[in-house]
Amino acid sequence: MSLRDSENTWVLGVFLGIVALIAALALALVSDWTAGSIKAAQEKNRTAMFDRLQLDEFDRTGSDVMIGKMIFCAVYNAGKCIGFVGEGSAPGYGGSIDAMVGFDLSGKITGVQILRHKETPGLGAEVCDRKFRRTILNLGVKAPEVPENIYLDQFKGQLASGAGKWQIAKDGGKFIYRTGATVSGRAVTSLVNDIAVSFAAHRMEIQEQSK
Amino acid sequence: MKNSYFGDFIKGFWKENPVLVLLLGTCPTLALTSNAANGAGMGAATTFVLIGSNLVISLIAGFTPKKIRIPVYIVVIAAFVTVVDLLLKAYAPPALYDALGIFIPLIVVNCIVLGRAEAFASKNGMFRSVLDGAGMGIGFTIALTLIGIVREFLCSGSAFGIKLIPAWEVDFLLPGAAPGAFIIVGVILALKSFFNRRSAIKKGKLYVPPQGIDCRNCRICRIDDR
Repeated sequence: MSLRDSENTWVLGVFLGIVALIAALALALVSDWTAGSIKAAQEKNRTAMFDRLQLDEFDRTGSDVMIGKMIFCAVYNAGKCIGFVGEGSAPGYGGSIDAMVGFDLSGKITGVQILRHKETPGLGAEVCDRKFRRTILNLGVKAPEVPENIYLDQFKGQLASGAGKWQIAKDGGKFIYRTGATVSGRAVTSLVNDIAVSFAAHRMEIQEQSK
Repeated sequence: MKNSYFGDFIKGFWKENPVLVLLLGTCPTLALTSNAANGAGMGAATTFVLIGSNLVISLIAGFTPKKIRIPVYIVVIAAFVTVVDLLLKAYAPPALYDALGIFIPLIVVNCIVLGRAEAFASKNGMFRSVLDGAGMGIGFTIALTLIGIVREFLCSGSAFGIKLIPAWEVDFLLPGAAPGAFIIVGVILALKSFFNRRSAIKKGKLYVPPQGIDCRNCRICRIDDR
């Protein structure tokens, strides 16, 4: 009886095992081969995000400091601390929203950047995405490095020490939100608020530990 | 034409288009066509998997025991999908990976891939199987991109992220959401069969669906009567 028509459980099991083994070996090779590139891509992604926070010029970032569920780090230029970055996440409408907030030395927010979100396209996504409006009229124009987003840019220049009760206008706060995307706006505002509160409370700790 | 290499390659584009004619892979079709770029990216990833899995399966089909051929094919397909996932992670623009990321593993259960493995690659030689995989993949990409362009345009007046009507300020949400996907894919299918039928009637023929691509010729569900 040929292998093709075999009905022996042992033969079938061993054949499947061999196929799985070969596949696993091939995957191990590819995984090994791409590991460096994946790490480099992730690293590049993270640095690109830091660049978009509009901090002063910097050459390296300090080690991460965990405070609660948030990650903070100091940012250095030529050995001197020039600012801080805080990262956190909060549940939005369609899943968790991860955001990064930059602070300068005076505690002012320099920029807010959403790293990941799954909000509704056209509604919640408008609150989170920084997208340059490319139309047929401005095809040749170079997109700005940090496209504006009125919902995220309203935090710029706010003092972290003033945080604690930042809310959207619907809840009695001062921040605007997009009609139809209240949940997303609320989530982003309270996330930035929490990061700022946490930063203001633990600033000394962050500065000392993030070398 | 029937058995030519060129015919194997070209048939997936339109005549046996996996989405518009075979109606396979409807899950990624509905989920990933909210804009044209996502559709094209998903199509390209699936094309790679199809070519790879068709190649390997046509090589091993000759000695794979019939009883376990489906698990064996799935292992091969899953391996190629993981390779695509790793490659995209390493080299694709982050925005594309963020959009496609959670759908890449779903290529494993995309019936186009298993369907072609079972219906074509397991019965034909290596070269023809690769052509079939490439043709089907390109057909899938064409269909996804087409649906993506229609949905993106109806949603926000743009294509591939470029606004074609600059004054279109407020997004129309229905075409971008799941219910809109069903409606638009349905309309496209209806239009396609309307025009096919009309041209058949004009030529004085009776309209019949393309031969050899319906349930009667697929044995996935009936493992034992082969």
